[in-house]
Amino acid sequence: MSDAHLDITREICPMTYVRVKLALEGLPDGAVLEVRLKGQEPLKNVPRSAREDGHEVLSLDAQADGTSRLILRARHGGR
Amino acid sequence: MLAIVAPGEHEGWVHVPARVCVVGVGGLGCPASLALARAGVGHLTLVDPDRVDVSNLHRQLWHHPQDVGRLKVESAGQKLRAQFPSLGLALRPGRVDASNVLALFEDHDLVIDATDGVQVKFLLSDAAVLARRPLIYGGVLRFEGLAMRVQPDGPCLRCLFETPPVDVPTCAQAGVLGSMAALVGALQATLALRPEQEKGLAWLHVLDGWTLAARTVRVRRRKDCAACGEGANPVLRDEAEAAACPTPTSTSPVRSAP
Amino acid sequence: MALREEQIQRYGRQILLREVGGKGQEQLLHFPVRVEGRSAAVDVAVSVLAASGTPLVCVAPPADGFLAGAVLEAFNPDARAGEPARASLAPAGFGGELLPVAVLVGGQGVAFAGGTTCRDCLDATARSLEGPSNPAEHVLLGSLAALILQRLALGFTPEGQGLSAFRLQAPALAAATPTRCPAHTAGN
Repeated sequence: MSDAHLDITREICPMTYVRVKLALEGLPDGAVLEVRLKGQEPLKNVPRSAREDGHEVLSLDAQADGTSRLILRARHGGR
Repeated sequence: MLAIVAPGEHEGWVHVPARVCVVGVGGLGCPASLALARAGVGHLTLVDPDRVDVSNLHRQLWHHPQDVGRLKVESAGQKLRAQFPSLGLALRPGRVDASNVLALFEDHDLVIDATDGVQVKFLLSDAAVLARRPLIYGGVLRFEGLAMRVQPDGPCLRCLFETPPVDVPTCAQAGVLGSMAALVGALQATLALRPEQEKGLAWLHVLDGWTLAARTVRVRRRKDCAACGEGANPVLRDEAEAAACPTPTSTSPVRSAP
Repeated sequence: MALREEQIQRYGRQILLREVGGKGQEQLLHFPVRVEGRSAAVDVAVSVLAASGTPLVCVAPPADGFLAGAVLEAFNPDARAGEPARASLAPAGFGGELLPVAVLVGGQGVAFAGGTTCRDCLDATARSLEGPSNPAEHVLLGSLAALILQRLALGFTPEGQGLSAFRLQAPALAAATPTRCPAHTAGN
């Protein structure tokens, strides 16, 4: 189960990952964030940016309603 | 440590071009146009299709909160006109593409690449080669800044990067610190005032804002360059940017060994 | 100290930087700079800093008209300082009082003094960076001063202590050796 949920289906770039990044920053190390997203841009960029920031991408699944569900684990292992 | 070009003591070499076209009025184009106007450039043409977005305000000095939604060229033009009443200004809200890029070069003494897409940077470089006019390339990606003067008979962007890279964040996902964009835009303006002295050579200026280290890399014209090499005949083409976003970012190509 | 919604929108592109993030943006918003004197380059630094969220206490009016008509608060409401300043910014020749952390911008370069720097050494270094420069270079030097202050606010500055300097030098802007005051000159 995830520790926090975030819906960025209404956000556009660059706010898509800004929201995810701030949410991950606010979680303790190891906590799990579930993100609901929509569209090609966040699908490509959000998991990549999260990985670049040192967080873990646990899964990414397409949903029946056309959105996707991305599960991330917050990692704050220093810069 | 920090090594970025500036005319400095070679004051005598400084050459102020009369007519300059600044393509892109964002993080690079705002400081570049300010510096060029201050240096006494007679005429500036500003080209940008975009409108001011709130996420631009932290680094695009001509655009203030009340300008959100306005065309960037109008917002910047208004501030430049107020501060430099004798400056000639032409505002072109629109995109640079293969159909209009050559005319832009032919109508100006120099063009500043203050754009944010990889493909448009190569289009500008190819056009500079064809039109035989100088172009000042610039880019910021995170804490790295790049700038280079592309001169007729000198190396061009394709000598440096061969092919446009595909896997760089070409959209607004890339972060940028306000002062890094200002530094690179200002550096482009100082390069605009200083023609390269040696044929077939250029200096790529690499700034690392994280360590404050910087270096200049000597770039040679490649004989087999697809744009400026011997017998090459570049064709101007419009290529789609890799990841189109509502508010694209300043981005620099990934370097391949020059 | 959470970021407000309009701040998230405005500073989103800085927050995206791995080295900044929400925490770094908050640090930028809580690192006021006192502007002790003005020059064209200082005015550029002021506008760059104000735009990206550094609060400013402007003791002196703008020199260049660059910000004429643009009240800092209109430029960015966050540019109004509500806390005591943490660093000073001034033209190279400024002789008045400075905070221990100070950035001085001359016509030929930028000098930075960390917390323990001798004021006489800073002044001697800044004097060595005075001189004429092309008006385009003022924008370059002002941007560099802003970058030094932003790095300081973010806490990732190797020049956080001590004295360092950067000089315009064809074809480069290079690190310059700080000038020492007589009390700190080697051999004394």
